[in-house]
Amino acid sequence: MNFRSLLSGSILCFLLIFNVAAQRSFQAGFLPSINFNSSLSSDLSLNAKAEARQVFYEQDDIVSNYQLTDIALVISKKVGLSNALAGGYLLRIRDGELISRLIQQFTNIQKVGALRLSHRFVFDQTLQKNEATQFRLRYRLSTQMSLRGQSVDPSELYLKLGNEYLNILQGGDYDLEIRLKAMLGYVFSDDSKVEVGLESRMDSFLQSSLRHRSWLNAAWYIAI
Amino acid sequence: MSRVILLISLASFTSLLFGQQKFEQEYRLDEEEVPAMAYNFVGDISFDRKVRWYLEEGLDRFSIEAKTKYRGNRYSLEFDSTGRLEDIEIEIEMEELPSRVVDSIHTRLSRDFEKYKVTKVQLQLVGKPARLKEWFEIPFATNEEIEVNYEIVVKTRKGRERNEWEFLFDDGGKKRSVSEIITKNTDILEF
Repeated sequence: MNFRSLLSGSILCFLLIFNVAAQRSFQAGFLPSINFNSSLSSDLSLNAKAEARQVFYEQDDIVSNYQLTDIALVISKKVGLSNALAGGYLLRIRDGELISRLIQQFTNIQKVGALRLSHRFVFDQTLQKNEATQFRLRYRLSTQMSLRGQSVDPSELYLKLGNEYLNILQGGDYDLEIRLKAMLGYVFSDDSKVEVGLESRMDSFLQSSLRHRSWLNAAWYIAI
Repeated sequence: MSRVILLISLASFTSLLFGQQKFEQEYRLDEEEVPAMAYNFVGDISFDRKVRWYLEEGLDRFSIEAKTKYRGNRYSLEFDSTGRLEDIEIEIEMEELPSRVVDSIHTRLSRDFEKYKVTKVQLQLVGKPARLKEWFEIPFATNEEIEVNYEIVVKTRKGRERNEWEFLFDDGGKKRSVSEIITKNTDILEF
């Protein structure tokens, strides 16, 4: 797979989704996050992430609607050179309510020419008062490539593309969510990277009318 | 910067058993930035695909690299900072190596590690630029004036240690050098 076909495929997917979603429920917003990664030993690391969600466009109206904040703590163990197993806990604060999510994750990262290719499998369980437990089985394919050299180095820009499929089961109902992400990143140093870009999420494929959400995404990754 | 040097020094100490660590950073170069000697050498070879140029920064030196694909193989031509050709590397499959070299490499790797997987094999050619230029007329033909080495990237496991190495073997399968490849932080792809 070369980068050009990957990029054109992703752009095509984005266009198709925007086209379909134009006639459906649509929401846009801002999704800032900060991500701390701390190495505990040669193969163990701790990741802490905080992410907020602010909606600024809904159907045809400009709005200002703070939705939620997520705080996650995940411990990751390297298994071999290319794989990592991780497990953690996410706390979601929404309308004063606390929602818990347990996370189990497996990641495989390979270098394919100048690309880094990541396969991520996640199984999570969301626990919420007066609601059936929600189970999600997720698969994400993402890639990162330098816009300057063969690998992503300090003071360089990079492109990150991602495509994720989420199988959601709650109270006997099944749904599918598809996410597409295109991020432009900058490496300040090995310990600090910033990304900005667009993330598109589509769900309610099977249960009701299609819902489409687009997020202006900004992420800061810090290694401490 | 001092932290990087300290980390590299500490890491080097731990890998004394096998050799050094490989620390490289490269930047894309425009054709106008390439030394004339290197640009002319590549221009004299009729590559059918686009040639990409890179400036490669090692721990103690800079080099220029030209990368392209030619007759189905990936080529990397390495020049010093003045544009003088140093070597040519061609990506090949392990099965394309002479069987005595393959046997020697496997013997060496199975002696040093419990488990290993070869992930990349490159033929390295060293010689006078004129001889190396002739090589492209009939690729893979034997030329006694060209020194042949094999660069192998291998993932290994020994006890709880998992590492990635770059070995250089000569045409008799004897180890010439080895350096550990340091994997960069992958948190942006993991989380």
